[in-house]
Amino acid sequence: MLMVAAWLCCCHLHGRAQSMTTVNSIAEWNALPDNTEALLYLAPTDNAGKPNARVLHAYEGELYIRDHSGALLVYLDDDVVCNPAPRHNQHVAGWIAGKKLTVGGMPRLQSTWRTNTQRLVLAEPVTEPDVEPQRIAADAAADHLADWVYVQDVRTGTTAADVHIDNRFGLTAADYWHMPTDGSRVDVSGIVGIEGTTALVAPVCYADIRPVTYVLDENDEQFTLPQTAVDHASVRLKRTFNANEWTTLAVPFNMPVDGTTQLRTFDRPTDDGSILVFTEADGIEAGKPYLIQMPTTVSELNFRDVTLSPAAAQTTTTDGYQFVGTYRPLLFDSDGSERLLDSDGYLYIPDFSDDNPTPQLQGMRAYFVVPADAPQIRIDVDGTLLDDISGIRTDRPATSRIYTISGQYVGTDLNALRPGLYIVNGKKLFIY
Amino acid sequence: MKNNYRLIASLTLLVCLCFAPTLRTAAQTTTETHTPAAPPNDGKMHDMTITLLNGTSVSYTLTELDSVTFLDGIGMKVYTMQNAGTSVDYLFSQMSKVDYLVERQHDDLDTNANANWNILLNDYGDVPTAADGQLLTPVSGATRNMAWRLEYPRLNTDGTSQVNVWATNAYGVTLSLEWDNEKVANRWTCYQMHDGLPNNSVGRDDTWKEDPYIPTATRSVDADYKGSGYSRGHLCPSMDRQSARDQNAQTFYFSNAHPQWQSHNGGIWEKIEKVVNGWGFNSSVRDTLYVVKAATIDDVVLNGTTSDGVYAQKCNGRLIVPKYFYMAVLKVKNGKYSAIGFWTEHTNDAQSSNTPAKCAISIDELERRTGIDFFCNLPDAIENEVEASFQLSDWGL
Repeated sequence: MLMVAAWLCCCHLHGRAQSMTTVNSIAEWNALPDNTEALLYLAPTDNAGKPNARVLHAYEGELYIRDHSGALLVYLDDDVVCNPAPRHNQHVAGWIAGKKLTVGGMPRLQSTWRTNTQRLVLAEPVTEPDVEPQRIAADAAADHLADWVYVQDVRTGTTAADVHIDNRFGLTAADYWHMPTDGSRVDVSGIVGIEGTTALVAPVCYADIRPVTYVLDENDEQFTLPQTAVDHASVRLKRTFNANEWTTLAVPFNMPVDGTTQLRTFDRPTDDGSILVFTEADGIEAGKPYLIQMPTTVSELNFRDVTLSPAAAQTTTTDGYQFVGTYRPLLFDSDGSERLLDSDGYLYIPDFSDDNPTPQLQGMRAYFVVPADAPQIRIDVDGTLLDDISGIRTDRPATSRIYTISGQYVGTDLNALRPGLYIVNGKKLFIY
Repeated sequence: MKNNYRLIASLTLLVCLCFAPTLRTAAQTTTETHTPAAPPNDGKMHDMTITLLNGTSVSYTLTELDSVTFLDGIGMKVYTMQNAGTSVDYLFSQMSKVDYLVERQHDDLDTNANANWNILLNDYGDVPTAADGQLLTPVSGATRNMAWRLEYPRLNTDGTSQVNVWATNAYGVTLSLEWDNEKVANRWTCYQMHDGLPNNSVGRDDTWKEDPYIPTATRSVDADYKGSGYSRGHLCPSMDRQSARDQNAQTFYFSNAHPQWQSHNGGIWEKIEKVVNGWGFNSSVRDTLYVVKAATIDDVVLNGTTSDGVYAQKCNGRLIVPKYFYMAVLKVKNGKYSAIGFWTEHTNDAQSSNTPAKCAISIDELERRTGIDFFCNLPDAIENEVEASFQLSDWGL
C-alpha cells in the first residue's frame, strides 16, 4: 500500500492525474461500476496468512484467477504481454491495472494500455498445496462465475439443466476429454461462464482431476449408458456397501477390486431348485452380475482410467434360473418369478404397491428370475448356505410399510400417522 | 525531483554491470526470513542465490541478470539476459533466504565473454490511445522491461510517446529512446558504457535510415533534413557505439537525431561528446557510465521563467528544432555514484570559447529546466545525493 500511495503521490506532483482507484480484492473489483479504470491489488497472503490469489486457467488472452474473495476473468488484449506466461496453479500477487467491464453477464478486468505485469508476481508453487476446484452443486454454478469448479451431478444434453458443457478451451482426447452422451450424469471440472441465465462450464483438465467424471448412482432412474465405449473414463460409483455383508452388483465397467473384496458368480441351481450355488470369481467384468462383499462400509467409490461399456447389463442363466444385472433402479410387479436377496439368505418376492410406487431394487445391482411357483430359495456360497449371521445386505426397502389394524396400507411415514394402533413389520405399534 | 518520482517507491533493483578492477574476496550477506530484505542499498545489481522452502536453490550470476524488480512485501521478478523480456517470479513467502554477493568477482565476464548476452527484442511500444496517462509506461512488450534500467529517465506518460530499444545479439542493448509521436521528436536517448561494451573501433556505419518501429506518419525521414541546412545531430553518437558494426549501425536511425546546426554539432556539443566518450571507454573512470542525451522539445524553465523549448521555425516545415541540447551522466565506480549534467544553447555558432566545464550543471538543475526526472530508478538516498550537486574535479574538468 505504501508503494501505491507513493506512486499516486508522484502522479499528483506531476500535476497530471487524479489518483486511480485501487481495490484490494477480486470481490471489490467485481463490485466496481462498469467502465471504471482501476488498479487491482492482490495481497500475497489472505487474512489467515494462507496463499491468496492463484491462476486457475489461462487460455489465449483469458486469464482466470481466484483470491480469497472470489474469481475473476482478466482479459488481456493481444498487445499485452503477460510476463511470465500465466500458467495454472501459479500464485498471483501485486498490482494490475485495467478497466472493469461486464461482458455477457460476466465481470472482467479488461486490459487497457496501462495494463502490464511489471508489478505482478506470477510464481510457481514451491511447497504450497495445489489450487483446487470449488466443489459445488449444479444449481450453484452461476454463483461461481470465472471460477474453477467441480460441478457434481450434471445431467448432460437437457435444456433444462442448470449447467451446460461447452468445450470452448478446445480440450482433446489427450486431455481425457470427450463429450458425454446426452442424458449422462457427470461431474464436470471446468471454468464457469454464462450465457443468458445458464451457466456454461468449459472443461479443463488439471492435476488428478479429469474434465468429466461419470456418475453411476444407484438411485438414478434416468441412468444412461454412453453410446460408444469410453476409454480412460473417470467414474464415481455412488453405491452403498456395508462392511462384511453380501450384496448384488452389476456395473458397466471392469471394476478393479483388491484382495479383501470377495466376489462370487452364479454357477447353477441345485437339482430341486431350492438353492442357487455361487462360486468364486476372479474380477468384475463390465455388465456381469455378482455377489460381492467388502471389508469396509463405503457409499462411494472412485475409479480412473476404466473403460465404460455401452452394452446393457447382462444376465447369467443356468437351467432356467437367471441372475439379472440392472443399472437403473427397478420397480417390480412380480408374479413370483422376480426375487430379491434378503438378509436371512432367502430370496423374497418384491411387493409392489400402487400406493408406494418406489423402486424395490436400487440400481447397480442384480435380481433373480426363477419359476414363479418355485418354493423358497436360498443361496449357497462356497458350500455354505447364507443365513441371518452370514451378513447379507437385503434389497428390501429400508422403510417399513405400515398397515391399520384392519389391514389397510397407510404408507411408510410414521410421523404422518394419526393416533391409533398400527401394524409395522408384523408388530403392533401404538401412536398417541 | 527525487524521492517522489521513482517508478516504484519500493527499492527497484536495476542492472548495473559493474566491474570491479581487481579480484576481491566475496563477502556475503544472508537474510533468513520469509520476507527477505532488499539487496544492499547501493543501487547495484548483485549476484543472487534464492533458497526456496523446499530446499532447492536458484542462483543468478551478474552476467545472467538483466534486471530484478523487487516488490516490497510481495516478491521479486527476475529478468535474465537469456530470456530477455521474460521474468521468473518468486514470492518472498516461498523463500527461506536470499544471499546477495556484495562484491562480485572480476573475472565473470573475462571468462565468460558475452556468453549470456543474447538478443533483446527490437520491440516498439504501442502508441497509447489515452491522453491522461498516470500509470507506468505507455509502451509494450519487451521495452517495458527495459524501463527499469538505471540509465532510463522517468517515462513520459502523456500518452503520446513510445519507447524503442535497439539491441544486438552480441552486445545486448545498444540504446533506448523515447519518441513523442505528437511532436514527431526524440525526447531522449539513453545508454550504458562499460567494459562489456568495448571500443573495438569498428568505425561509422553512416547509413541513415528510418526507424521502422515508429508509425510511418510520425517518424522522421530523410526528406525532413534534405536541403534544410540542419545536420542530422546524433544523440547517442557513433563514437560511443564501437563494439560491433551492427551495434554502430543502430545509432544511425533518424529517431536518434534532432535537426542541429552543424556549427553547434561540430562545436561545443562535440567537445562535450568527446569528454563523455573518454569517460565511457575508460575503466579507470567508471565501472559503468549511464548516459542520457537529449534536446528540449517541451517547455523549458530558466530562472523560474517558462518558455517554449523549441524554435518557432521548423526544419523543412516538419521537425521541431530544439533551443537547447543537454546530457545527464551518471557514473558508478567502486560502488560510489556521481552525476553531472551539461546544457548548451542550440545556436548557429560553434561557441568556440565555451567549454564543457562551463556547460556543467547539477542533475537537479537539469530536472528543473526540463521537467524530466533523470536516473529515477536509482535508490532514493543515492539519487538525492548525486543529483544535488557535482564536483568538476570528480570528472577531471
